[in-house]
Amino acid sequence: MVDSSTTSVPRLVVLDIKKSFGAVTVLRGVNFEARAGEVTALLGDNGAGKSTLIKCIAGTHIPDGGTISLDGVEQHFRTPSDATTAGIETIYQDLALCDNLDVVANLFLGRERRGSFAALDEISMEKTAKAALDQLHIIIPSVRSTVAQLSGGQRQSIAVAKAVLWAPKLVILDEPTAALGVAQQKQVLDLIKRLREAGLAVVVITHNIVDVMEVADVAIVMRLGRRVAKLRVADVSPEDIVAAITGAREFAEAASA
Amino acid sequence: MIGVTDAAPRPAPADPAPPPAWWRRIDGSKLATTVPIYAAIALIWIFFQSQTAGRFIGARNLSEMAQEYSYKPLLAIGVVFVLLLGEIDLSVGYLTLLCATTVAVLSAFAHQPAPIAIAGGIFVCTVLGLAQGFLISALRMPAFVVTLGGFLIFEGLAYHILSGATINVPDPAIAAIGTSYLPTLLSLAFAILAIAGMAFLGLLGRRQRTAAGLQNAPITGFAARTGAIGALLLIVVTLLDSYRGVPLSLAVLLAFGLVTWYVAAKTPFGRHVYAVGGNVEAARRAGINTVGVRWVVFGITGFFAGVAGVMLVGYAQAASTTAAGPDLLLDVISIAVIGGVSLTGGRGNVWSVLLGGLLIASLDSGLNLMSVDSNYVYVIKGVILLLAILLDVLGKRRGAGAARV
Repeated sequence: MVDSSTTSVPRLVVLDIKKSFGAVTVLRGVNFEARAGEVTALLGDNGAGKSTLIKCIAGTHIPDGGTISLDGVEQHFRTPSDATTAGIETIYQDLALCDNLDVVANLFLGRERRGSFAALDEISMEKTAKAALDQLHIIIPSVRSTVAQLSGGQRQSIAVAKAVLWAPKLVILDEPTAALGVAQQKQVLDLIKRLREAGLAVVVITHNIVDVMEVADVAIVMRLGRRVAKLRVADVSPEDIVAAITGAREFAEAASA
Repeated sequence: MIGVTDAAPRPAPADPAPPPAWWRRIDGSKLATTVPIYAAIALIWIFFQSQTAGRFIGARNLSEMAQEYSYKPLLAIGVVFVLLLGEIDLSVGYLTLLCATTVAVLSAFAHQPAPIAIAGGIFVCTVLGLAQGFLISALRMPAFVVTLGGFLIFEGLAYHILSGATINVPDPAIAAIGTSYLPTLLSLAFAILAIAGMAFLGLLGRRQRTAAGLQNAPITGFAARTGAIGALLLIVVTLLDSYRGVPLSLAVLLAFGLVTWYVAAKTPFGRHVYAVGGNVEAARRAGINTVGVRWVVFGITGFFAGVAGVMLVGYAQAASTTAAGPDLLLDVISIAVIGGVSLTGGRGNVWSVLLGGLLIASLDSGLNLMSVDSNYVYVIKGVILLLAILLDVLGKRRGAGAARV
């Protein structure tokens, strides 16, 4: 199931993506790829174009040029739900959950199971929710707690579980550890490792070099709308990654990949 | 939100020394908001009982209260739905009047049979509610402004049609809606059926959960709740039967309460209403048609303005300019908020209109019995509305923004 060999076709292949907003060119032909069973970190300073790239992959933006392929099949997303249907789940910080609803309701939000008399099938949803959380080793007081009652790390875990519940091919996490305490960061990073073990392709957008060293297999660095480096995290030091982000050093893009 | 949590971590129930189980089951915020309401109702009843020489508490006054005021909680059901979205509908008072006027015109001037006059009034209000909903949901105009416009338009239309006069509605079939009673045996049968149904469905649900390997809440809580609600229902029905019976208007309120509770708490649509009210962005990203949900909700509110208008004509057998308006709007918002519906969306339930409705009807009835000047009535109701909102704010500050459904 897990195939992280560098010779296989990556699950996600993005080629020469271009995107402008009016006179402002944000992406100047970016390549990007993510393999199943690997965590790919997407790095770059503010304004590097990370968010725009991810939004193109998630169907929020329609690129001006270039191609996006999933498992070798070219995709043309017009809306976020096109991307979801194709198997791409994106977890945006803060935007994923309804605080006033319980964990089960959040996990199944928008995809509720129906029983008889048009009613929600709460029993079946609760059972599936429990199994999904157990599988990811997510521990919360009760699946009937409202999300407002959970800690920041627990919420982020629920947001991830919500995405994974639908058996996607690719999971994109936007700043998953931002604004979390140390213990809660570890909780989320452990969860990301389990997603990798489950054979998913995982993309993490982050500013946190420690996170990258901890969970990522590959780091792709962007600067000013271009990809400037692709590094195997095992082969480099944190200083190398920072140097790539700031542009202090040039990297031969393909060499280390 | 996550940033806030990080700065001041919430005490999750999984802390090293968890409080005892019975304590955890009591939702602090819920307790903080409901206990003062029960206390307020008790105080109001004791006060009026002493001031009206014992006329206040009793089968007759309870029956008259139900007949005269049940249109308010009926309208409040519709308002609960918009409040759950975190929106407001300021037009409901005059929309109710416009329905009453339409029913009166269709019945008294156009000589239409009662079903057509009633359906016509409700239809007009539902369409107007949907029209406002279209502006708010599809065109993204602020609900506050749209319904303020509706407030003026519906006021103008209703006043124009009524032209300052009162339209009497002599049709006995319409009068029956507001003034008749259920047969004693039938109401008792309904009550027993309701209690049996509640117990049966509750036990069935518990069995299914056990069969699916899921935990059940302790049986004692379920039994206590079912017993308390059942006893209350039987007491109220027996009391009303000792006078003239259960007023039809009260039965209509309970029936609509049951249907809307089911829709709000048990169906995907209801879940989506809570989701949109809780976090519209999350709801949208989850693939929920947020525009459709908001649109339908304003239609529901229009529908209940229509139902309230019909009840109003049924009770008064007339439509007049003083029958409904801004006072009614404030009353129904009070009813919802007193019942624990949050003005900021996503929290509250349909049954809350019974508690809030009882408090507002008690005030109306008691102050009326005491012949209190209506100017004082406004002041008292204004203060009560502010206190209810204060409770809402305090309840939320205590944490746990639970969706009680």
